[in-house]
Amino acid sequence: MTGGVDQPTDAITPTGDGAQAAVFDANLDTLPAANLWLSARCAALNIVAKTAFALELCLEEIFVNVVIHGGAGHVRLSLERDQDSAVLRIADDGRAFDTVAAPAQRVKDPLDTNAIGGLGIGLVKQFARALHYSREKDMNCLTLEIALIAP
Amino acid sequence: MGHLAFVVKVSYAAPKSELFTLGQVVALMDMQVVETEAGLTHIVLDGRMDVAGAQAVDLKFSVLAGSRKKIIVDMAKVSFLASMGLRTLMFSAKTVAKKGGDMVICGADENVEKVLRMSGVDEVIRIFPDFEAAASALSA
Repeated sequence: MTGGVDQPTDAITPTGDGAQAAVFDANLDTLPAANLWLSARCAALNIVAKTAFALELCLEEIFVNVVIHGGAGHVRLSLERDQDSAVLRIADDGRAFDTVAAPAQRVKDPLDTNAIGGLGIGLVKQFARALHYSREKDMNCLTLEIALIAP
Repeated sequence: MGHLAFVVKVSYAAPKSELFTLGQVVALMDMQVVETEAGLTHIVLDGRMDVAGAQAVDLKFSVLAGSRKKIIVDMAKVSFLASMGLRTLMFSAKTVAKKGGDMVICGADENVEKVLRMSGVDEVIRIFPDFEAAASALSA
């Protein structure tokens, strides 16, 4: 792990989403630390179990995609909330990839394992109320808005 | 549940750095296998079916799917499920189905069941509320 809270690196620049951000090396070994950071942020923002589960699922799917397919060096995370939603921002310095435009798979045919590859993006699109992607300064910037769910 | 023939326990030996206990983040995955007198293979998962969890049980799942015909995957103790975990379940179910067998899931909590349904996995792997209901369906 490169750093914790408030440790932007030269490789990945702040995106104007406030101070409560963290930067992680983009590899699967740091995913538990990223999850831990997310869990702590959820607790700090009083985001409860069901919404936290949705956030964790989205983080896992995007983080894994960035590591396996994106060739990124770092991933920057921030999480904020407003009245009725949690906003998770994920930025990475890997190859350009528009998650919003990417096809979302769902298992259609009985036990067609060919469809498994795109299940993660499909889950993200269903769990998130809104998704926004932009490519800024050679970085993928993905914003996920997830409805706050009552416990 | 019938006679316990044998128990196989697979534990993911997580590096100490992953052994956080804060919140729900615990990088451990246990898998117990119980063979019942009725000829059912009861796989009890305990932990997170994330990338690490799926990797921890993938090989054992493949072996069981290749050698058993009636499998119940008990997910009552699974706190998290992502697409890598779905992948493990789907490949195993496909292997079992190829032999004319059947693999079903039981006990998933609300969040885990939501992932199963949103992904469409529930349309190809049957889901039951508990072991008894699953066992009854497989024994019919």
